[in-house]
This record gives sequence, C-alpha cells and structure tokens, in this order.
Amino acid sequence: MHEILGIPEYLWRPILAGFFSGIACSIVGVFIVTMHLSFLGICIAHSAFTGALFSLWIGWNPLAGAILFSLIASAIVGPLADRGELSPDTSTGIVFSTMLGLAFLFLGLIPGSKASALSLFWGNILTVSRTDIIILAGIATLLIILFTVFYKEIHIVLCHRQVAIYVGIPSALIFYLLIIATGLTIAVSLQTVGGLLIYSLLLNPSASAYQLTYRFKYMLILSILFGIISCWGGIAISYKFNLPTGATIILISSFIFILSAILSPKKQIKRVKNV
Amino acid sequence: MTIEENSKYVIELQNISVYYNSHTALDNVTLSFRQGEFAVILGPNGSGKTTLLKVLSGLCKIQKGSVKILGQTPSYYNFLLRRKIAHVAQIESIDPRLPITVRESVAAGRAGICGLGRPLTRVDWQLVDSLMERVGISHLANKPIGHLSGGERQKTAIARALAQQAPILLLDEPTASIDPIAQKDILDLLEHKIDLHSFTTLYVTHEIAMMPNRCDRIIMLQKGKVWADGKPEELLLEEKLEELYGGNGFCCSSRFGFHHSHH
Ligand SMILES: Nc1ncnc2c1ncn2[C@@H]1O[C@H](COP(=O)(O)OP(=O)(O)O)[C@@H](O)[C@H]1O
Ligand SMILES: [Mg+2]
Repeated sequence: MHEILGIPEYLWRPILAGFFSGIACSIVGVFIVTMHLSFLGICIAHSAFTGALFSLWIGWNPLAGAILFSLIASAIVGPLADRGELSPDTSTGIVFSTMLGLAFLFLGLIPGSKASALSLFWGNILTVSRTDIIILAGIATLLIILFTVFYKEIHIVLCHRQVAIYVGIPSALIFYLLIIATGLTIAVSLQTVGGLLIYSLLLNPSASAYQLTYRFKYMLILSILFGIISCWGGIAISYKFNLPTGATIILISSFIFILSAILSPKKQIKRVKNV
Repeated sequence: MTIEENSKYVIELQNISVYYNSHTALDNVTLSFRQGEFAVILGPNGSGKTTLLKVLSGLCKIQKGSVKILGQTPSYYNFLLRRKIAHVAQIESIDPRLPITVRESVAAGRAGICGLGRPLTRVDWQLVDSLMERVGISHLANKPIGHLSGGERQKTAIARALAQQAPILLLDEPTASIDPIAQKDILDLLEHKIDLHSFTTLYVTHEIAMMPNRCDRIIMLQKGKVWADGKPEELLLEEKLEELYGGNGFCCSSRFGFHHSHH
C-alpha cells in the first residue's frame, strides 16, 4: 500500500475534500448565521439536493443540476430576504416544500437502481473524484478571495444591514454575491456530506464561532477551524471505528457547538435579554 | 440668517407624495434647502418626518413628484449618492451578540466613500479615532456595539455620520428613546461640539424641548403636509405650537421662554 506522510493514498482524497468543504461551508455559514438566514440556507440546501436528483433522472452530472437548482432557489428566495418582505419565512417555506416534493418526484422517476440517488442523501466523501476536489478547492479559494477583498463591506452588511445601506455600501450587490456563493458551496459540497447533512456543516461551525467571540475576524477564523476539525475528525473516527463518515462529521460539529454554547461569554447576555 | 441667500439649492423636493397602501405619509410636499442651511423639522408622531428623510436617502419610493439632491435622483440603487448624505436613523433594537465593535461601527462611515474593496487607510482610522474622542466614546472603542446604552449608541451613530464627511446631514430624532440625562448630553454634543452649519442639516424631532438652538429655519409637518415653514422667531410661538400638536402631546418648554414671549 502506498503511503504519503504515513497516510494511505486512498485517504488523501477525502482528507482534501474535507479540508476544502470545511473551509467553504464555514465561510458561507458565517453569512447565514450572522444574518439569521438559517431558513434560507435550508431552502437552498434542499434545492441543490433536488437538482442533483433531477440530474440523475435526465442523465446529467449531479453537480450541474445541483448548481442550477440552488441558483434558481437563490434567485427566488434572495429578493424576499433582501427586501424584508412581510413574511419571508412563509415564501421560503413554500419554495422549500416544493423543492422537497420535487426531490421525491425525481427520486421516483429515476430508472433502475436508486443507489447513486440514495448516496446523495448522506454523500460519500470516500469516493470523491479528483474533479470534485478541484471544484471544491476552487470554490473555497473563491470564497476566501471574496471575504478578503470585500472584508469591510461584508462585515458591515452582515452586522449592520441598515447602516451599510445608509453609508452607501452597495449592500444589495454584496448580499447577492453571498447568496450565489451559498448556492454554489452547497451544490459543490453535496458529494461530501450529502443533502440531508450539508446544512449542519454549514451552520454548526459558524454558530459555534458566533458563540465564542465578538470579533468578526476571529469568528471567521474559528468557524473555518471548526469546519476543518469536524471534517478531519469525522474522517479519522469513522475510518477507525468503521462508521458512516457524513454522520460522524456532523456529530463532531454538533459536539463543538454544544461545547461552545457551554463556554460562550454571550450566554449571560441572552439570558438577561430573555427575562 | 447665517446662510447666503444666493447659495445654491442642494435639496429640492417638488410636489412629492408617499402612500403606504391607502395611508398618506407625505402629501404634496414641496421644499428646498440651500447649501449650509440648518433646518429643524418639527411635527407630532406620524406626521411623516422619518418618511421625508428616507425619501432623501432613496429608501422610500415616492408615488408622485420629483426629488433632486446635489443634482441627482435618490433611489435604493443610487448608493453613490448616499455616500454624500450622512443619515443618523432613529434608534432600532439590535442583536447584542453581533460581532462588531464600536470602533468598527464608527469606521463604517468611511466604508462607503473609501470605495468597494479598498481597505481603510491609516488616515481613515485616525479620523475615526478623533471623532470618537470628540463625541466622547473613546473608552468604548472595543466594546461590542450591542452592549451600549441608548445614548452611547446614538453617539456612535453621530460619530459614524461625521466620519462620512458628507455635505448633507440628516438627523432623525437623535434624542428620542434614550434617558433624559443622555438626551441632554446628545443635545449638548450637537449644539456645541459639532458645527451643524457646516453641513446642509435637517434635524428631525417631535419634542419641542429637544429643539436645538441657532437653527436657520423651522418646518412644521402635520399629517404629511408642510403646515408651516419659516424662521424660528416667527414660528416658535406658543399658540402655533399648540395648534400644530392639537393641544395634546404638547408640553410647553421654558427653554424658549414661551411664557414671556406671549405678550
Ligand atoms: N412601512 C410603513 N407601512 C405603513 N405605514 C407606514 C410605514 N412607515 C410609516 N408609516 C405611516 O406613515 C406615517 C408617517 O410615518 P413616519 O414618517 O414614520 O412619521 P414620523 O417619523 O413623523 O413619526 C405614519 O402614520 C406611519 O404610521
Ligand atoms: Mg419618525
């Protein structure tokens, strides 16, 4: 067996996939968590999943359908969240349930064995292809560039939406860039953790980081760190104990969240506010 | 009058109307403001003051009429124009857990004009620090913005607006929803530490007691209409104010010595 740095060769792909997925999902998660757009995240995640099933039905590459559908969902749901419509939750809920309905429709329509379709539910990080890794690396790099170049704008849009508009930041532009990045990240990460679990990888690392710091820069760094730890920890533990990898990744990220919530300096504030 | 009669108009509103569904928030308002003018907009709650300022920033669609600011038409997408308008909005509640500090929040005032994708320079940060010093929030620089009191947040918003170095300054009830001591503090800040005549300033308030001294002009709004428009000495009369406020909600202030001016 070939080994690189003492790690068997066939484990390198999941390790790299986990690394880039962890980075991409955690960065997008900072956007979702800080702006309280969890439902929007769920909605786009399910749309990507539906798109992948659609692709399998008509014989495309699942990634193409996932990207297409997540962008369609972003185009519908984005403006609702952007313009502060009366109840974006209701409209988002309708998009969400329609997508879920379509997902099961396509699942039923896929001819022959449903194995490849079912693997989209929980993903399979162990079988990611070289192309998948290159695409994941691409999207992670893109996100890092986006958050570095537009750091000051993104920080203010995320934390101070109204202020961003008043001081003349093109906040709609920034918001849509982030929505599109969310759609792409989810679509691309589907292979790694699967349609049912992707959302936790999006939310848990950034929600944990949100608990721990008041500095946006540290929140980003911690979130990325938690994302990578979850992925790598999940791969290592599932490999050692022969567990499903996707599920293990998510459970580790949930564990990090629980720890962060316990250690959070913001706990006090929330309690005071709730009284 | 401290402004010159022949200085040019920077804000021009022509017959504008704003409706929220069937409710009329602004009704055929025509107003213009010269460069360097300091106007107070006075009117009871719901008279359309906030709506008027939002129209100027392009954040409220007008159904009728036209608006020109520095020769441009404001709109939601005209973010470049908003960089020239420093807008201190009415206090809103914010999430106390938000990851942004007071200093970063003041620096947001530089973020627009600095340009997309350009980090703030050392000069920008020096301005931010000196403005925090001026409004008296230097000691709060690294506190999360959500942990401030109402008065401290208002000072942060004022420092942010000044950081924008814009020719137009809009202040929407800068003393509302904060405790009385902080109110005095903010009023003192606006009257003595900032030269409101160096901007074209629109200062909105519904409380007569919170009127700043030394304004050039007072515009009284009632039910979305311009009810009166003139110099302070013509309009700050007890009977006028009582009529504007319809007898209720009007508390006479000794600040302007109404009791004496009556006779
Ligand atoms: N988004 C809105 N939808 C419906 N009505 C509104 C909205 N904003 C303001 N109004 C109404 O328009 C009127 C003017 O509001 P506003 O400009 O906020 O007044 P002010 O600032 O003078 O208190 C009020 O009667 C208010 O209820
Ligand atoms: Mg108001």
